[in-house]
Amino acid sequence: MTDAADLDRHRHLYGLLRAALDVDEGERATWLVQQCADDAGALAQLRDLLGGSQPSLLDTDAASMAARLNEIDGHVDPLPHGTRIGNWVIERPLGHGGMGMVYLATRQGDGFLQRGALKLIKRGMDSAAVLERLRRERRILASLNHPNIAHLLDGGITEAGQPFLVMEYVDGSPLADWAQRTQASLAARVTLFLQLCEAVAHAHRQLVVHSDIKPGNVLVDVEGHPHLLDFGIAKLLDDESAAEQTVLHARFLSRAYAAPEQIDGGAISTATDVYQLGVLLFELLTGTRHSDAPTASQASRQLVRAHGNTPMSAPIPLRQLRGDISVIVARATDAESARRYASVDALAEDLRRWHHGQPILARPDSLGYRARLFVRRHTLAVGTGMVAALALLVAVSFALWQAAEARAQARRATAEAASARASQQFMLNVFTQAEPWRNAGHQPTALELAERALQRVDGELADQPYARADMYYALARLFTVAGDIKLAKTAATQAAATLQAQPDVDPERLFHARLRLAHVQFYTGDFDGAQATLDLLDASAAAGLPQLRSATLPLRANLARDRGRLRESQRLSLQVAHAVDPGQLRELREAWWHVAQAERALGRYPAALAAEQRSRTLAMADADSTAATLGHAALTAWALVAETDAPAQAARELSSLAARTRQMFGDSLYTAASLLIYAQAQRRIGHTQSALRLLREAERLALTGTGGGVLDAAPMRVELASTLIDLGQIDQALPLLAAADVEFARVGGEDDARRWFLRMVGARADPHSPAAALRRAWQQSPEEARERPQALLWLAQAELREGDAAQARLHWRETLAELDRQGRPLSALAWQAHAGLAGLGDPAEQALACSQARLLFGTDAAQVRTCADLVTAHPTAPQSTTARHDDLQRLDARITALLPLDATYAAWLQALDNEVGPATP
Amino acid sequence: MNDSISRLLEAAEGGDPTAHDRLFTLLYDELRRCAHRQLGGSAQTMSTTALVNETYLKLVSAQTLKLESRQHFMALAARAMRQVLVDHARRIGADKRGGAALQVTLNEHLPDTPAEAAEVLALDQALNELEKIDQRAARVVQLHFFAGLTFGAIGELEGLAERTIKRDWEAARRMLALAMGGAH
Repeated sequence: MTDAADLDRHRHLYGLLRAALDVDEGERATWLVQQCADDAGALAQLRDLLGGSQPSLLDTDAASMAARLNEIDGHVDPLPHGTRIGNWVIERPLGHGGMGMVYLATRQGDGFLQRGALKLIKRGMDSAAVLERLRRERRILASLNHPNIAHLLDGGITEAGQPFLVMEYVDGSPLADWAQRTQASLAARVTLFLQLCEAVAHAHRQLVVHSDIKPGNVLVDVEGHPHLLDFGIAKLLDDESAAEQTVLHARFLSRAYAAPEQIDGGAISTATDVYQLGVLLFELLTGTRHSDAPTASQASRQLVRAHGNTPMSAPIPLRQLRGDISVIVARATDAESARRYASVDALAEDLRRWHHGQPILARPDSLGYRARLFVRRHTLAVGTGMVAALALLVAVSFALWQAAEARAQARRATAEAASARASQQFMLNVFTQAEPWRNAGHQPTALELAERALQRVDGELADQPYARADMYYALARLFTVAGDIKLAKTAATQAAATLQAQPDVDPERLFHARLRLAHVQFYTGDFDGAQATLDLLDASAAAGLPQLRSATLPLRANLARDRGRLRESQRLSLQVAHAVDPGQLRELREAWWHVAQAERALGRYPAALAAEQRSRTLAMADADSTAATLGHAALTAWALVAETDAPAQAARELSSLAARTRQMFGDSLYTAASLLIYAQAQRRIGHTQSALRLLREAERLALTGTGGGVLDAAPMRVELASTLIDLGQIDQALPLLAAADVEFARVGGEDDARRWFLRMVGARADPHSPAAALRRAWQQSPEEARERPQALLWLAQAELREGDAAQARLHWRETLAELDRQGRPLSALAWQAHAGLAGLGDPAEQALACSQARLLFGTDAAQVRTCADLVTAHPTAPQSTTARHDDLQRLDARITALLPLDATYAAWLQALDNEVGPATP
Repeated sequence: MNDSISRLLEAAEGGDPTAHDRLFTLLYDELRRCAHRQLGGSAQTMSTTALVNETYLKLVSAQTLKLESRQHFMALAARAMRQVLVDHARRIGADKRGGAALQVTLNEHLPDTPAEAAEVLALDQALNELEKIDQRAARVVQLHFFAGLTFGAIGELEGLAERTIKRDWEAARRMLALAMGGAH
């Protein structure tokens, strides 16, 4: 039917329809039959139309229609020119991606018009938690500073609660267009890709993962430099909720470039970026989309096949793509993230080698891979801690094997290579025999595997002394981490003995085996044995291993600390920090962390804070930092904050840190230590009952958890006893103190500061005169110790209780002086002293204590009420003098300026999410 | 803004095509902005009435327009809203056909048949046809569906009884269903 005929017919039907609607409903049927006597088609159509009401688009309304279009479309109708968003004015749409529209926008700068690519994110984000996350992550993203990364300029929330981000606007063409247009040579493409790798590696060092690298996110400017867009945006959009994550992935990510873990909802990490770079490399070279290629040979076939396909951009001639390039792509894009290049740098290095015609480092398959695969398969059976331990064992043996292989190549020493192969075979045997069907369905744990390995080393590697020693060495490390110190000691002793028995032993190798033994001796509490081994080591270093002269320093520092020799520990830690090569971020970070701990123990807070800051900065700068490292850094930082200025805020942060630590490490010494720090902060703000619960748990974990021991429980016991005495439960407190004292006496000397403080705690429970007992104990106080102000405070409180206000006043003043010396004049302890003095009726102290309480504990804290009561009790108090007003202002400023800590915390959360997945509330 | 809107409306009523186009663009952009705000923001969808009212308030503010101007404004708003939807539906169709330059960033997982988009386009065509058959009924559909006006309000604007408007709607609704069904 023609359009005109159609229209005529519709006009006719419409006339009938209108008339029919005017006819009374009862007579309508008859009327219709009369009217359409000769047109059965029209009758049927009209009956249909007048009958039931079919669902129609018109039953909805235009707005919901717009919403539905938006839903299926996946991006919103573009905003018109001139629309204002934040400080930005929309110029025109630049395009749209999975996450929403991108616009060219401008903002009025200081006398210039700044241009930016404004991304309006489709998804509504209105919960306060999400906004907070956005704010935190934006700060991290803003830290990316690399010429090949498009910077984040701004971001915020529109009136309607829609988040937007503004990135640096890059005037360039998409990667595919660039390749097509310039017919870029292989060298040009490799150079460009290596620049991209550098940009991504830079971000990884700042703990930022891109997770959406694809040709559409690479713009090439007129000078041929690539700019990577959208850094960290996909990650930023990831919600904490796992269920939503899958939806997000489906919605935001381009499937063609998504790594398998992104599609399966697995953990996103730097390995995800390695995968996506591999896909991008493939496409850049062949002009064809990469699809899953599990092995190098398949990748190679795909490479050839891809060449025949319709190219999206100009491909590089196939003859130039010979050799290991398919291995490189296959390694980068392996479905198993553990099997990919360990870092972007490693990928770049191999590409460089290939391009220069050198052999690449990646191998089609390896022992390390097979072992890692085994760990993955047995994850459930071996549990988290064990997996980490087993992974360590594998990594160690793999590293030893690699090192041996490198040596073998260098010296062409066939014996070394044979030894390496023997280790390899031995490991495979242990793993193979762990397969469940050989164990009647029982899944052996990693510890069982390691024990089995320990028993078999001598038999199976009888004629390979070096392989035997290496294996013992690796097992010693494994057992240390797994918490079985006794087996660790057996293995370490064997490693050292085996090497020592070789006439032509490499002295450096023997040194490392003995150093391991010293570590294990230290961990088993055999401090004298450790000391002797260390002396032996220093002698051998002095005799001919100058490069190892400082290798024993970290352990010596630890030993000094655990023996209670604070000054020595501080000096040694500082030596380590100065001896470490600046490139060794991990060692350097650990060294400064130990310095911070030693300075804190001495009560030298400015030094402790400075060292801590250094350590934390290093942790954040190190791409290899694990969540444990960053969590540790955050924990230490907040502990110092709790002791110097902002206890209430620190307690809140420590609460969440302790919870996450437990989630990650389970019942371990780490968790116990985090609980102790949290409990100390809780005591400081007067939450005694909560502190008591935490400390009981910390003591239990230190005794029974992985990696702990009696000595580790001693600090928890002292704190617990002290808390019990606060609550008057003296009978329970005294046995704890006695047990702790036995431990400290065993490892430390008579002048150990820990023993002195323990006696101070005990003196508070003296049945006759706590004040007199405390005064006696105070006589023994070391010159420098963190606990000195606390001890003085107790003394003053006891004196007041026993009616000696004059002495109390004196000791409160001394508390304040000591806190000044320690560099924490505004801490919660200082408040207690001020409040004590205020209670004696000193009006200036009253005013000070009241304002300080508000700053330290928050306006509605009990401490503020206590002060108010004091002022009411002494109505003569004049209005505040400005005494120490400056101090209060400083305190206020410090409390509000804790932003760097916030960033550490955010980085930690991010690393944690990468490693163990988001928290389940 | 108020001044310019009423002036523009008057000029448009006086037959000035530039004023008419300018008004249409203003309305079109503002409706898109309003729709954008609500679509992007929360899960809850705003009604068309609220959408047009917001647009009206934004452009005209609290000032009262004389009846003819208001009539004109609403007709234009309805027309603009219709155009917003049609343009969006067309763009979806274009994307489905592999919309050129943006292909690298396109989400590969769009549903195969964007039925909603096809429906919007079919409605637009059916409405074009209805305009040729019964102009007033077509206007009623446009004002009710695309501008969210009640039958009472349309009656006021048209100077007709609400009952008459309702009858127009009933007939037009059925006719459009027929035309749209026939399009398949």
